[in-house]
Amino acid sequence: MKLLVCFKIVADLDQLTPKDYVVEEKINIDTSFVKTTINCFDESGLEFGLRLSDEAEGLNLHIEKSALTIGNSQTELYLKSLNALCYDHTIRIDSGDYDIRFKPDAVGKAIVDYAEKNQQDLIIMGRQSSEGNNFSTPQVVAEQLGTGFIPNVVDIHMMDEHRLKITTDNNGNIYEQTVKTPVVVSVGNAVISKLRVPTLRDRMKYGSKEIEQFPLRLEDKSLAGKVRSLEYVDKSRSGQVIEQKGSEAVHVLYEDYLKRRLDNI
Amino acid sequence: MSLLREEIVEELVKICGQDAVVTDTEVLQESSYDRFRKYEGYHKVFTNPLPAAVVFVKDKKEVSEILRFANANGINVVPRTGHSATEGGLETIIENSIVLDGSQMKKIIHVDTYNMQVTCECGVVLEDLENHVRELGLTTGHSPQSKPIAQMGGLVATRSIGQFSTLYGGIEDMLAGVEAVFADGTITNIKAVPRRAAGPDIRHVVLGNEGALCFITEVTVKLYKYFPEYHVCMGYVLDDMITGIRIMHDVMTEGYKPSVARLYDAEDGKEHFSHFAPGKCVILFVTEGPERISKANAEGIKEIVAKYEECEQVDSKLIETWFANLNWDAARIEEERKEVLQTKNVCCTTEISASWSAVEDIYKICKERIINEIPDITVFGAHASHCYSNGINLYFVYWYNVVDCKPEEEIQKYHLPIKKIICEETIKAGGSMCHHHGVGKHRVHWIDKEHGSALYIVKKLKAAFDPNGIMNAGTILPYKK
Ligand SMILES: Cc1cc2nc3c(=O)[nH]c(=O)nc-3n(C[C@H](O)[C@H](O)[C@H](O)COP(=O)(O)OP(=O)(O)OC[C@H]3O[C@@H](n4cnc5c(N)ncnc54)[C@H](O)[C@@H]3O)c2cc1C
Repeated sequence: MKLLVCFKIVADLDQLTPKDYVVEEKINIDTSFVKTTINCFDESGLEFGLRLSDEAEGLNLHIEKSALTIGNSQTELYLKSLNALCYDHTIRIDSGDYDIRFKPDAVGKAIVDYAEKNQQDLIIMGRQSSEGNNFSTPQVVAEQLGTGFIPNVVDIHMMDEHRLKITTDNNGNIYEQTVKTPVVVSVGNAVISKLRVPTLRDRMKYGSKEIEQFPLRLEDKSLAGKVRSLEYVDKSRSGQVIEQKGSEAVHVLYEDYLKRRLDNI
Repeated sequence: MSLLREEIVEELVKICGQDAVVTDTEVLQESSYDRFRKYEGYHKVFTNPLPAAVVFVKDKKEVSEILRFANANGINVVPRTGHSATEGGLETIIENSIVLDGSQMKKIIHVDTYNMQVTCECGVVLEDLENHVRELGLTTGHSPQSKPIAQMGGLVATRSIGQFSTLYGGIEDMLAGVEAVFADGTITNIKAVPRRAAGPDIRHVVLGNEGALCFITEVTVKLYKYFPEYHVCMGYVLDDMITGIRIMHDVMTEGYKPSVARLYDAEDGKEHFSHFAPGKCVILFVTEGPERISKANAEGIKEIVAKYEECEQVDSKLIETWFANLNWDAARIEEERKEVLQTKNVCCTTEISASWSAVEDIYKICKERIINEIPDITVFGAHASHCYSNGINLYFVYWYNVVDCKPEEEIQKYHLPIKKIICEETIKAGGSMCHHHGVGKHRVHWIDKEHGSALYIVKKLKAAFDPNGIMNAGTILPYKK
């Protein structure tokens, strides 16, 4: 079985203060001074890839695992780490000067180009990322490849060479289904959220393993539309400090705030 | 004959009241260990005997009565405040211990803005105290990474140190006066004075006692004017850790006083700076104080670093943002728990200090030995975060995957063998195996080598102040039945 996990490296936006949201000339917000991480849904996807591979070994099967990201040279650190975790192929597509942050069509097209050249049985993607947050890139990939698509995946297990057991969460309703490959899945709030860590020895051993570069070829239609402005979404909530202390404070909290809400339920 | 668990609880209730005495199993389990056994704890495996109760005291009188009772009946007492200990100091290694918790003693008693000192109870969280005095334009100058959790009693009891230590010193430089209750119930108050020569400095009997001599009830620390507007933050990337150590040496011995002087090797730095310095070491400084002093220090440091061509300055915003996210609060600890349970990848640390001439070799040999001798290491790195004119500390940070071993075997398979290498190599080179986390219960194996002939003094202190051995048995000195 051939498996491709697509992932995105994102800035840890929790480290930005509201005053850091300065929109620059190119309608960009400078996040270069904060740490980067693997987008959380994609991190689950990458660990699923390794777990499926472990399961396949138990079934005497082999999974050829690839991990692909679209990003600048900063992403190579993560790809190196995936090499050390024994991903067979790590691929970087450099987006160069294209601004495809908010263009799921373009991102999807880039992934599809790769997947058409390198046929895959299973493509795992995260359902959304903090930048863009459009929920639609995995759908675009499935649609352009003409394969089945399963959203909100929370768990994946290997059954045999061509079948997977996939669990999805649809608004709190959990479904389990047996799925035949090829398929594209989009991972939601999965049962695993953290990627395992390679040992120092493996990092040294695979440190010089090649990261494959794949070209980005975009057509005008997937690049249509221009970002005009960005605005900070204020997520702060109002609060009030209760002056009283101890049990008196609890009484005020109940009488003045909670009771009214409880009555309305 | 030793008392039954029920009898101990009954007496504690008599002294402190029902509400103050907790015997809930989950609380007792959580109170039987600290972060040294975090991997076991995350798996809900508890290898220490459970204490009889956790008692939340409200004043020194209660502390005194409980200690008198425990002393008379040979009951082990484990003092506690913030519960952020990392070396096993909070482990209840004896059946039916009493965990004596001062976290409810959280009054800030007096802020004296003229004499520049503040007195507070032992359970005041450092961050709360710092926020309180910041509103008055002042600072304690103390900023350990555990500032949102650690409390004043524990901070004094462990000889803690913070990120601004190069200017303000460790807690021993900040502590002006302290009140403590000894094993026989005696309440002592060491008055706060600028300095004195009235015999040995008895603050140092209390400082760093790790609950093995006395229970700290009240603390007076110095205050300083706070000038955030004059902070100067500087960061550099470089290739070689040893060059970094030499830069630190030059800065310190030329007489400059940054508040922060930190140096990360590439491996440890990977966890912090990979977004701008992948594969590189990072050295950073902050100067502070009145404008002219801060500027002068910054200029002097810049001049020194400029002599080292391999250093490349980075945007100070990178360092400022990193700093703003450095401290650990309860939410971060919870995040760590989830991560460890999923990945079985654990991070532990050991901090040492050594003279300038010894530190380079300690760094090299520990790194080489641990990478070669210990299995499943995922990261082995170090940073230096506290500098002195005569030497520096090294904070070794190591991550390993726990492979083929039960939670209760993790310490024996990984953490202790690593600690052994670091402690033994450091002592061999003339350094100290504990820079600021204390001895706890897991560095006692090397306490004789650490102190050499001076162990006599440590043992005599223990024998004098805790003749019945009821104070935090097995901490600082090994437990002997
Ligand atoms: C994420 C993290 C970051 C940390 N960063 C730093 C750092 O930057 N610098 C640093 O120095 N340390 C650091 N530590 C270690 C720890 O926070 C310190 O040792 C701190 O001083 C402990 O304070 P506490 O109130 O939590 O004490 P506790 O954990 O409750 O106790 C620590 C020790 O002191 C004894 N003790 C506690 N209260 C009393 C008392 N009232 N009287 C007598 N003995 C008492 C206990 O028996 C125990 O041996 C860190 C720990 C964590 C978890």
